[in-house]
Amino acid sequence: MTVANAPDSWHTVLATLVEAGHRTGPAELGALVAEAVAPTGVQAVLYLVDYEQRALRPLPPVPGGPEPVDGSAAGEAFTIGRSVPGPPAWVPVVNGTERLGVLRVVPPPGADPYPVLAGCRLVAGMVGHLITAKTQYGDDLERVRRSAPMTPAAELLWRLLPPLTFANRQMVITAVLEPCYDVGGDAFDYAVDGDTVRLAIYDAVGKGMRAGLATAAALGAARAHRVADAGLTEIATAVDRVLADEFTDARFVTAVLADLSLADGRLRYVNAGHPPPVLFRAGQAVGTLDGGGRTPLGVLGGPTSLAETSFEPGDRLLLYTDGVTEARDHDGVQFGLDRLVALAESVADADLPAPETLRRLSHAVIDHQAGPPHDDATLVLLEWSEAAASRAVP
Amino acid sequence: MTYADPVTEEQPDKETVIRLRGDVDLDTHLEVERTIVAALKTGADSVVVDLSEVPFLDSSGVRALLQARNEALRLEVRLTVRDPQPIVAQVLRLTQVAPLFGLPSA
Repeated sequence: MTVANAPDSWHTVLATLVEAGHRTGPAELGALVAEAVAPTGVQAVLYLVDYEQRALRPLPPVPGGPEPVDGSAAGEAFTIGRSVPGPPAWVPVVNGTERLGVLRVVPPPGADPYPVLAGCRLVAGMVGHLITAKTQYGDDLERVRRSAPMTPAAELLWRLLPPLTFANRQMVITAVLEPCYDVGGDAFDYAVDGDTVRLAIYDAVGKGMRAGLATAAALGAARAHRVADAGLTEIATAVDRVLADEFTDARFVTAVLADLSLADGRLRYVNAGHPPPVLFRAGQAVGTLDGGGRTPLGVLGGPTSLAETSFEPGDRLLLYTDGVTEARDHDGVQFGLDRLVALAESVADADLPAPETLRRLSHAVIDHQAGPPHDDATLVLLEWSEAAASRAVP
Repeated sequence: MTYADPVTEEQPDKETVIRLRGDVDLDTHLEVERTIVAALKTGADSVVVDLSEVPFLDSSGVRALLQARNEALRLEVRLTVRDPQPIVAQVLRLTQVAPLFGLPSA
């Protein structure tokens, strides 16, 4: 038995990551991973996915450079969320269910690859936590993840957003935002409190920093009231107030605010001038959530009414901003809701992890778009399904 | 045509009609807003924005209308919108602002 096949050796690797991890900055994280696994004879390189989810970028840089997400073994591990045996093998790196990158793993000669992969899976789990913890202490991990500079509005917005993907045992939430280096007015938000999932999508009118500031104000007001246990109508009123007080230029934010009870499937929602979310049952679109209408947040015009509907186990809810459906090709043809729904239905058949479903939908919108996008395009998917929740974990 | 080309008609009963032409979007919304607000300040009791020749209006256009509406409320002038093309009517309905401008909500 080689060292890499001895179970104790992986305990030592994890211990090194934890102990040395206490005093490791973001710049040293790639080197720490390589050092920690070295006693097993395994060679490991950490790759992080870029914001557009098109390339996996090594940290520190290696001669081969980045690996494409589409059409590479590294990308298969990332997208399907499963280790791909090699050599080199590729192991997905997640924090919880948030997809961060992959580990490139070369086992020592003659080693049984399966115990090595099992050990590296544990290492990847620890590394995912470390990446998330360490990223805030320096800019190196952010630098690796960017293929282009962020606009000030995008920089502001990304740091306000929750992680793109979360799952517990019952459900998974995932989101994608484009153009990722130039977003401003779109945002999504969620909080999972016991049996209640609180979900929101926002789209501030306009572009750039002014739109971003309106979205930031809306998120601040909504979250402060959400944490204080406010209901949906109260949250909407709080956002109305902050936008009316802080912006004098009719700056409004369209939004859907929804609460799903995982105990009984009751879905309550408010729609403030936003495209209605689409409900999918057994893989097919069965309708849109057309109730709970009111004026956009920040536009005072009558009371906020709450709508209610029943969510069934296995149901999926797709929320989107108009930048998705209004993306135009060379002939001016919009991407459109029909195309979005048809694609979502066809992708559902593949039983992909939820974040991969959205990555593919979002890239289809970008591929449709002629030239640079005119508007932010955001997709949010909520799947109430134990099977979907388990697919979100490597 | 990609810019708003307003035509203003003075009506005898102190109603001003503004006929917008072209897209109302990120490129034109400020001009549209200025045009409507200027009309609100001419002493009319009522200003009607005719959208029959506007093929496209995005959320910036909605904002221009809302900004003008704020000014109309302040000046106590009635501001309404008429004859939107189907796509524009859908935007006004979807954003739930149609009733604020005297248009049906569904």
